[in-house]
Amino acid sequence: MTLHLSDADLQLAADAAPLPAAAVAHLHDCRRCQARLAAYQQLFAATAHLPQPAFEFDLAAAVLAQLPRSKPAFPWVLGLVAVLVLGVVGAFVVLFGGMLGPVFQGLQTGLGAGLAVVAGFVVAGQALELLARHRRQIRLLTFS
Amino acid sequence: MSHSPTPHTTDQQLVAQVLGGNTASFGQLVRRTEGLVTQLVFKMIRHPADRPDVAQEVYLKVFKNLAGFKFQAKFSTWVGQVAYNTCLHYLEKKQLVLVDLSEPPPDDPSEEGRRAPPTLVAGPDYDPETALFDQDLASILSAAIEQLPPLYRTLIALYHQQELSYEEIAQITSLPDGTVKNYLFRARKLLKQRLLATHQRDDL
Repeated sequence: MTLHLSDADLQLAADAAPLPAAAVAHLHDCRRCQARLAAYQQLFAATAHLPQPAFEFDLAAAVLAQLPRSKPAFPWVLGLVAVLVLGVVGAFVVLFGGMLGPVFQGLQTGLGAGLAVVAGFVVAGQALELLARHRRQIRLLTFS
Repeated sequence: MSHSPTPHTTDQQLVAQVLGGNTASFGQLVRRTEGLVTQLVFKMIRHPADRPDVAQEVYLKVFKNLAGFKFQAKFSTWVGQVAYNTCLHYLEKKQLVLVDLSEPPPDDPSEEGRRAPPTLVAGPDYDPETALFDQDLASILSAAIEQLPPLYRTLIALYHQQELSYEEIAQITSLPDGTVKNYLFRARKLLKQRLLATHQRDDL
């Protein structure tokens, strides 16, 4: 009794994958298996040539329209706030500058410098945290 | 320095440009991968009205997670992975089945080819180039593929139409290589048997 090739073997052959020698020999002589192989080959070829699906709109344009606009590295709002803060500090120094000298006279220079550095770090950290939080919120809103 | 994308710009360069704030370069990345994403969305999402939203959601997720992509795989494979998972999430939300394992076995092969015409293919002189223009064959085959479960449709499309390797398909679907091969084998066998059950071919 002749053992014909299995569907798995036929699919491998239609895919141009190597087959065991015995299967190749059988395929060479068996018209039934040749016909079954041809059916798979035709199916694979026809599938590969099917038209690709496509949307009726421009997907790239639709996606780009939903992306967040690129923002300047230093938003103008923050710039305005910085100018205002500097203005207030400047006005304070001009108005009460004369009274600040005696206040700091009692402090040792090293301690004062240390405090100033720590205060600077705290302020900078807070500002960065604020900016990061703002960006997170904008991102969440954009993608919600 | 100009950052205008050209056809020769690599995916990696485009990603760097997008991360640098040039969102226009993202359009180029979309155009390079939309064939794969569209194929996945069309094969996995049966309702046409939902497909545009799902496809756009895929790219918004890609954009959002772009900084986390470190080119461990091809960019297109990663986008395919995002698309597959997004479609999967959609199917879960809608409680749809990706592959119905309780499906009855295909018809007895001995019954193959005994039903009425039209003929599926032209015979031994079949020429794939001619088939390109054979709208009847294309529509019969498309309709038969549409009747398959979503995962089978998807695997056939990825392997035969997108010409992806088993490894790439395994990465996209997070299935083991062997499972991909097994499902693809079953999908093609089922497709052939269903076609033969409804369309005659004399030499089978």
